[in-house]
Formats: sequence, structure tokens, C-alpha cells
Amino acid sequence: MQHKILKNLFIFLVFFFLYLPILVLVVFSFNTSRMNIVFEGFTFDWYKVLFENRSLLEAFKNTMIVSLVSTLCSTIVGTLSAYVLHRYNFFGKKLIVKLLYIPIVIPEIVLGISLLSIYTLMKLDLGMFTLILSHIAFSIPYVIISVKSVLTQLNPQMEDAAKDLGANAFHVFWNVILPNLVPGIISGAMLAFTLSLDDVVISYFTAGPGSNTLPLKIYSMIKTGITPDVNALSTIILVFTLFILILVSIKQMRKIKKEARV
Amino acid sequence: MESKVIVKLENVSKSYGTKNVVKNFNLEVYEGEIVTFLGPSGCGKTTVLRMISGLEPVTSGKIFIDGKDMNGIEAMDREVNTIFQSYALFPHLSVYDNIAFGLKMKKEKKGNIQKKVKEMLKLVNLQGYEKRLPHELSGGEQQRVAIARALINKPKVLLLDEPLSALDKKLKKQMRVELKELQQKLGITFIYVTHDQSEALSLSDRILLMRNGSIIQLATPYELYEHPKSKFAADFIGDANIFTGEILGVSKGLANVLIDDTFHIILKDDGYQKGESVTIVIRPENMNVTTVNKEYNLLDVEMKNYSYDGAYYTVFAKSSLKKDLKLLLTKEKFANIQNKKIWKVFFDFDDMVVIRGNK
Repeated sequence: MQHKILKNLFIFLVFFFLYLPILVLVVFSFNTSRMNIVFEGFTFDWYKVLFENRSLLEAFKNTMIVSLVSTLCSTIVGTLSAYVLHRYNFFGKKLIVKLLYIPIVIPEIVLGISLLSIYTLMKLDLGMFTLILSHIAFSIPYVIISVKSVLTQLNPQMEDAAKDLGANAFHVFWNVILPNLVPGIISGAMLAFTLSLDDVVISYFTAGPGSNTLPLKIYSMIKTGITPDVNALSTIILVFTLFILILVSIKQMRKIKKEARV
Repeated sequence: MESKVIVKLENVSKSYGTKNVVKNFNLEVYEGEIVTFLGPSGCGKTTVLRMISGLEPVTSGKIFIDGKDMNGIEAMDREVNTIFQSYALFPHLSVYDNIAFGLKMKKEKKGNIQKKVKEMLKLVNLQGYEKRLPHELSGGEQQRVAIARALINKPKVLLLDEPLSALDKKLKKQMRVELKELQQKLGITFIYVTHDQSEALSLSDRILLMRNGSIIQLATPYELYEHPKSKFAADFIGDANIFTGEILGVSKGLANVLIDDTFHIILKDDGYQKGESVTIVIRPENMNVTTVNKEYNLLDVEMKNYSYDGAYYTVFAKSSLKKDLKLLLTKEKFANIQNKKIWKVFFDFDDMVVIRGNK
């Protein structure tokens, strides 16, 4: 009996500390006071302020553009690279596979500095373009690894079967391999998107004037004190994420139920 | 019967680096027959099949399909189709789309595809399965989809790579019969790869026995079983008692062979030389238990062990020879020897297959 109480208490504490900060954030977005310290009264004012805060909305827009574009590019490049690495043997392949892990394990600050020096060397002006390029660079390995793990689980005879039935190299990839990679591509893309969405360190080095992203903006606001409109924006993002999560799990539940029936 | 050669292999070889997997292969397969490539795993039988399908390039030699040289023609353009060991169905496509795949690649009209897929589903007894996905099917059903998917393209030759190895024993026997019926109905040439000798014997018109990338013997199942040309063939196909000995001498049309320095076997002379080494093969069902006294080829034996399979007794017996003998006996014959300690086995001339030399 005592054992059970302890167990439940433990689980409660884990979830409490995990979700308390988020809860506080949401609650204070409805606070009448400017300070995130005491809750004085309920208001929607900060949501109104948020939609009048030009620079914050601008940063949000930039973040969405950078994340979506870099996710799209890194997913396409990563998927194709994973297929090539899986399918073909060439000189130096093992080295390339090993090198893939370096951007993942290397400290972000090092990657940020190196990207900055390359852009300076190439005389590229810092801005949206360099920002997107950097995000693509650090996202690709995650997509490759995610897609590669699905590829290794595919039946290698499937490709032979497609060729045997008259499919050329393009049709083998497009009609047979690609549809089976969808789970890996989606998880790789989601990983790339979330990494890009909340990246501060690399963006700090590679963003220029006019390409401020939301994490950078919030980071800079700490110096002057965060106003509850940031809480409001975070709450909106949170609700949006939850909504997507719920959609995905409903879809998954349906799939599981369908499989269970068969 | 004069038949058309549909597949011809001329001095085909395959090597990976310095390893020769297939050596100087020559073969003619006739239209409408079932030829089985039989051999232990790693003998190169699947490699030969893949070279015919075009999935594996030849290192040297030529392959002809229906008279056309296949040099430079890729798998997608060859008029052969393969059934893979793992079936290799496309997991994301329904049964219908799996079967229709080949026709879609050939850009056939939708109406045509629909009609043909329907015919195929009927042929393999899978009507009503159109919308199912491969993982919703049993092993036997997946196998049928693989067959339909290959046959819908009307291949000149169907290549089957150990197609039954993933099925359980009962289903295996059933599919064996179904495959043979299908082949007879459609008249398509089958080239069938297996390591299961009973599958090869029951299914084939001709068996090509392989070992280490070379052809050991190409013959009908009957020929191969009754007249193996080598020790390996005798041993690999069915059960056999195999004795190796040396010709001691020949006189009056009979040859005397000494086995294990103790036992003399008398053979009909066939131009043997003194000192020549020979291998004598006797199938377990041809071992005669006898009570009649003969002048020669009688061996005293003693039962060591037996097993009963419902129809026959398999008896393992000790004698003066090094190797134990294996006999297949009917219930009546078994009853005769069951309580005897020592009994006699007679080797009849007609029951012995003699392989000359040390092959």
C-alpha cells in the first residue's frame, strides 16, 4: 500500500516539474500585471498587445519561413542522400557515413562560428539566405539518419522485384522505395523542423539585420525584461503544437484499431 | 518430341573478385518444361537464376532467351519474371496494385489492366482480396499474389527462387501440386531453384544438379535417382548406402570388389580394370532381406536401431563393414527379422549402381 503511494507520488512529481513551467507560462499570459511574478487578475490584453507588437510578429514570420524552407530543403536532400548511401557503393562511403555524425555531436557554438567564417570568406551578406543555409546544413544529418534506419529495414528483394516487373531506376525509387520511406521522412522532417524552430546559437552567428528569428528576439528581450505578450505568443505556439499532436495521435489510433480488426 | 529451346546458356561464368561462383555453364531449357536447379546452399544456383533474369550481370558467356542474345539487355526489358524467396511484395500496395504493377510499368490501358488482374485473381483463387495489403495475408496467400504478379506479364519463362521455403510442410506440399497444375495449364517454362531434393524430384521434368558452381548431372528425376553418375549425386538425391572399393579381379564376366578389406561384392563385368576404384550405391528400399542361401553378395547383419514412419520401417544395421547399413522395409519384412539376432542381406546385380572412379 505504502509502496503504491510512493510510486504515484514519484510519478506526480516527475510530471509536476515537467509541466509546471509550461503551466506558469500559460497562466501568466492572462495576467494583468506586466511582471511574471504575481498573478493579479485575468485579461486577454496581452494577446491584443501581441498582435500590435510588430517586431515580435516579424520575428515569428522569419522563424516560420526559415523553419519551413530549411525543413523542406533538408528533407529532400537528406532523403535522396540516404537512398544513395544505402543503395550504391563507392569509394569513401564509409568515411562519409562517419562524417554525418559530426554536425550532430559537434558543439553548436563551433558550428556557428565555422559557418560564420565561411560566409565571411565567401563574402556572403548575412541575412535570411545564410540563416536558411545554416539551418539546412545542421538538419540534413538528422534526416539522413532517420531515413536510413527505415531503408535498412526494407526487403532488399523488393527493388529486384520492381526491376524484374519492368520498372526503370526512377520508377523503382518513386513507386516502390519512396512510399515505404514515408514514416522515416516524416520523423526526419519533424526533427529538422523542431531543431530549426528553436535554434538560438547557430542563428545568433548567421542571422543578419532584418532576419531576426523568434528565439533570437526572445533571447534579446531577456536583457530588457520579458513582457507577457511573449507568453501569449508562446501559448499560441503551444496550443498549435498540441493540436497537431492530437491530430497525429487520433490518426495513429485509427490505424491501430484498423489493424486490430484485421 | 522435338521442342523449342527457350533459354540457352553458353559458357556462362560468374565471379566476384577471384571467387568463381558459376563456372562455364552450358544449358538448354526447352519450352514448356520445368527444370530445377538443385544443389546445396552456396552452389551458385540462385546466381544462375539471377543472371537469366538480368538482375546479375554475367562475367563471361552468353545467355539467349527465345533466341535473342541478352547481352546488354536489362532486367526490366527481359521477357522473364521471377518469384522471389521472400515474395518481395510491395508492402504499401494492395493486392490489386501489386498484381497490376508490371502492366502499369508497361503503360497498359486501365480497362485492360482491370480485366487481366481479375483473370489472375481467379487463376490463383484470390477473388475478393483486391483491397487487402500484403501484411494482412497469410504466407500461402502472399505466395499466390507473387505468382499472379509475375504471371500477369505473360513471361516466356518463370523463374522461381526457392518459392516454397518459407511455408510450413503441409502448405508446401499443397503449393507444390498447385504450381505443377498451374504450369501444365499455362504451359509456361519454369526454372525452379531449390535445395530440397524431394521438391525437385516431385516437381521437375529435368533436374540440374549443381555443386560449387558446376553442373554435376542433368537428367530426369528418374534417371538421377536410379542412375546417379557420381557419389555426390547418389548421396544428395534420396537416401543411399554407398560403398567404395577396389576391383580385385575380373573373370567369367564377373568382377570382384573388395570393400573395407573384409567384404567381397560380385558385379557384372563392365570392362573393369584390376585395381580400379569403384563406388557402389544401393538405395535403402533395394536392400533385400533374404533367407535363401546365395553363393555371393550375402552379408550378415544385426539390427542396431529402427524407426517407424507409418508406412515403412527404416532399419539401421551393423555388419562387418565400417558404415552402418540403412534399409527400408515393409511391415511384413520387418516382422520377419524383428526377433532374429543375425540375418542376411542380399545385394542383387540389378539393385546396385556402380560409379566408376573416384568422382
